[in-house]
Amino acid sequence: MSILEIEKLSFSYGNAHGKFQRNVLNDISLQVADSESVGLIGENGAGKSTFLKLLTGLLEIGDGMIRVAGLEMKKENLKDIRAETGYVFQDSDSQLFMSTVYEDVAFAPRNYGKKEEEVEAAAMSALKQVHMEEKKDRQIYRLSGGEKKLAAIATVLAVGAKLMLLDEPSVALDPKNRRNLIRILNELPGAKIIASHDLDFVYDTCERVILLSGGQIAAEGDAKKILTDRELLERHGLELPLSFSRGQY
Amino acid sequence: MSRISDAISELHKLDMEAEKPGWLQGIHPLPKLLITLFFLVLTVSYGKYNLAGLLEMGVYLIVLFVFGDISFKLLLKRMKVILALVCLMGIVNPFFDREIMFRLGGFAVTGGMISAVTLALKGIYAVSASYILIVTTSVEDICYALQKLRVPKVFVTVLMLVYRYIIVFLKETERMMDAYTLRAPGQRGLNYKVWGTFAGQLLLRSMDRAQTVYDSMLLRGYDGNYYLRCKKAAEYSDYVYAAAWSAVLLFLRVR
Repeated sequence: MSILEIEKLSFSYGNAHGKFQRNVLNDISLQVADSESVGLIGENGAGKSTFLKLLTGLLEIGDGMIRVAGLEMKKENLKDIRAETGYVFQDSDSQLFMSTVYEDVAFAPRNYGKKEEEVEAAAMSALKQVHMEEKKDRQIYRLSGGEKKLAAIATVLAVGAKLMLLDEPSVALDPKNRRNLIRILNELPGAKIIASHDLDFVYDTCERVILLSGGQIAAEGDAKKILTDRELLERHGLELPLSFSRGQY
Repeated sequence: MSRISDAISELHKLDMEAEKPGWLQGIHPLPKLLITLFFLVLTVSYGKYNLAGLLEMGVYLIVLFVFGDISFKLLLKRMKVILALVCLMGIVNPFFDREIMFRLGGFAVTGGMISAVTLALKGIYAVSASYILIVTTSVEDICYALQKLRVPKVFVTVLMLVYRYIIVFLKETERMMDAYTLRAPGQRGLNYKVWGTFAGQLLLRSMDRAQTVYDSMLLRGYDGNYYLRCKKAAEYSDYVYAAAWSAVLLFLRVR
């Protein structure tokens, strides 16, 4: 079953009269299955972040249709859609705004009206999934970059999101934290869409890849097949992942 | 460290001090807030010449500083500007109120002098009591107590958001100042020619970051309400704290 269905999605930045309009996404159609991990790749300005924001309702769709967990993207469905969708921002510092890790992770379940015992259970379960339960009382500013990323993931897991959207999750992580994040993401159930320039990271975490270029889907399919196609990648402003160019796989 | 880094670090330290273990930190925020407010009201209610009575009220602060393990030196360091301002509040009183109240040796003490000291002392007490509350109670707990006191929702929400956005704003300022300083070696502060663009850029960048924080809140179900919880339930000792201080402060005021 599909957790996400998109039909003929188009989006432009700019005003309604067409003045200063910049077309970002054109006629995008795709489906993501319940427990699938999909990598979203493309050069700078290809529309990856815009695409993720459209899936959470942070940007209003122009034309087309988005359906998340069977709910059509409409103003009245936004709260329910956001309970099913977890967005992990590129900059964890902007995502985490409460004083301690626990308070931040508990923020969403409290907003969804859960009782305090349920909030605690959800928060602790989310922290356990990212192996951060022992750091629950730590002040956010005392976390390392890797820990902040994991805490940010826990904040969306606490609502029980079935579709997780991650924007450049491996940015600014050292190799050890990056490896740790790959392991944790691979352990997590549910569907994931990972937008990234780090093609090695995408290969390690996703089974399917979508290549965005010029606001359209330029290629879609098996991760290995797309990520090893040097000619395709270079045509769209990308390069072979380092591990492929060194022949590690 | 730059002054901006210092300010950010001080805010983080305040958060940390409020979370550290201690008997004063362990008291439920509601009685702590109520007693602080009660102390402030009683302090303000003293007449302008009642210096002796006001001095007695200092017992509250001394007890909390000593037994709460709060550094008075740090208070002076952190609040020096505000303390200097409150000390100067009554500076003109001696020029208008020249009635001699008593003589100290050969020196005539006027009503204006006493009222100036009284006014300064009230200010110092208010700043100190608020400081004690802040270093022993997290902003979330203070807001929780305000919610319990039925303070309008909008006020509590604004307080929470302002506290968070101050850090966002300071961090953005620090980044821009670092970038400027690295490309303007030997300069002290900002050249006046870039004040306009600097302020404009700072505003735009802060708004951008604030928008991301707000988006993050919206995506996690924020609907304009902060659902704050206190880490501990009120216990017998919290009621004793409130009752004991109410009795002592009231006794000092009315006797």
